[in-house]
Amino acid sequence: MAKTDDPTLRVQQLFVRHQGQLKAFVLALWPDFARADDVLQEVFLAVSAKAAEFEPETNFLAWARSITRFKLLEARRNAPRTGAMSDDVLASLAASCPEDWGSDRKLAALAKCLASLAPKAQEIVRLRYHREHSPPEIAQLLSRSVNSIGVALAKARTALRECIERQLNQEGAR
Amino acid sequence: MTEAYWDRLIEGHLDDGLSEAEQAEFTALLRDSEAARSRFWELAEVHGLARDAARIAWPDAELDDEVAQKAPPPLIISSARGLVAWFRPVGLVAAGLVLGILTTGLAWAIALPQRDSVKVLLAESFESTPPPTAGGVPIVADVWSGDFTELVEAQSGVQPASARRMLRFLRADYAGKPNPGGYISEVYRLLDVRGRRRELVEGDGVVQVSALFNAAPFAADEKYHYSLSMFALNQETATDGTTRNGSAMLDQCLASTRRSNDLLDHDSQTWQKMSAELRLPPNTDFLLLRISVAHGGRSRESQGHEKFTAHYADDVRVVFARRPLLP
Repeated sequence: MAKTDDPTLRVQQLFVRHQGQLKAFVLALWPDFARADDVLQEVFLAVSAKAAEFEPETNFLAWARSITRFKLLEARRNAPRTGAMSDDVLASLAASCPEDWGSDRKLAALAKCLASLAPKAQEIVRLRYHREHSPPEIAQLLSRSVNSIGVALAKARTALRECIERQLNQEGAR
Repeated sequence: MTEAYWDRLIEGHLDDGLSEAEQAEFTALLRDSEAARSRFWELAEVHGLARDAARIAWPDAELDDEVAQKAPPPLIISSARGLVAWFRPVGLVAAGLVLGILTTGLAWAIALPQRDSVKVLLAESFESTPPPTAGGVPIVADVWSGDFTELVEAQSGVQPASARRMLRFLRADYAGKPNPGGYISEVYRLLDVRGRRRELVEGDGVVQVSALFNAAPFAADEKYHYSLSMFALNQETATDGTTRNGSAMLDQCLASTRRSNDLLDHDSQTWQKMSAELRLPPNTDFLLLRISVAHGGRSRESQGHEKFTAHYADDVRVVFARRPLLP
């Protein structure tokens, strides 16, 4: 990363570096892809506007996550019919997020792991995460029940989580 | 409540499938149990990363057929004169060659598929997009950033080209600009095209960018120009701050196109359209779009040339298509 004295550019560079983690953080707390993108944009604008407040030697990710939490609360207040998560719950949940959660290493491992899924599971994961369909939409597309799609997605995510762990252990053993 | 039930609630949250009662249980669980919060992050990680991972694992989107739009502008050169002028070779000997090229060119143009799929990379009418940030050239995708601008509804006798909102240029600088002032107000947007790499390999990927410009009536002796540029960038150049330096950006971009300095007319009732095309090098990761309005003529020399009173852009569109290279 090029060094810069411009505080705005500096936080924007840090945002780029941690963008994947922040995006995953938003999606975990608000699993709506379109709205998560909007929230992430708002976070980018907010960190840019608050650039002068960020102290370079401190933890950017923690700072950006706290801004993200506020942006999530704001966005959820303005979005009707979304599951309510109060400020205190969101605060304690955000505070418990591990530092390396959603890291680029895990993203790379997950990308490899997707190919290892059984064909049926892969199809459902593709529909959910590539085509960004909701479980009811997938159920309709595949003529299955919403419940069975939910179960299949949960199983696929478990398989992928175990696969990521194996991948990272193998890397660590090398 | 068993741990298996925790998992069911967490998985239900991730798929937006909780009933109101389950939502209440889920919230209470997360509030009261540190172990449940820890479990939440374990289970949610794959969900959080899976969309980006899917884009890496399956980069060429067969879902493009969902956004296939109208055919691109035909690549047929409309007149022999145009073609001859373009290929103008030297000397009389070349006359036969020109004819040959003309014949071949037309045959080739006719042989082109009549319809090609066009993918819309950006269709911006500023209706629901967040306000642009006055922070200079953006280094993250999908935000508008540049000089001071704002999103406005109809004003000063100018109606948005579509729907309710349009972009208004305000100043020729932004917060913290190293050399404040200037006479060009510009705004940028970075587009991530890494998901299209497979479509760029053969060098036949083309983007067409267009935007509409307008202004409220202004004095007869004032002039304003509008311009449109597109830069193809690799990831490093797009995100390391290089693009904050105009000459470095020109040096390090992979390709660029520019339509510049068309004059804004005095008719605020009509929008003026500008478009440009760029053939993308195979190693393009990002596209940087720039739209701008500039003082010209006497107003460039006048006091306050860093300000813009009522100058607008709307309906910015970037589309991608594959077109064979010219023979």
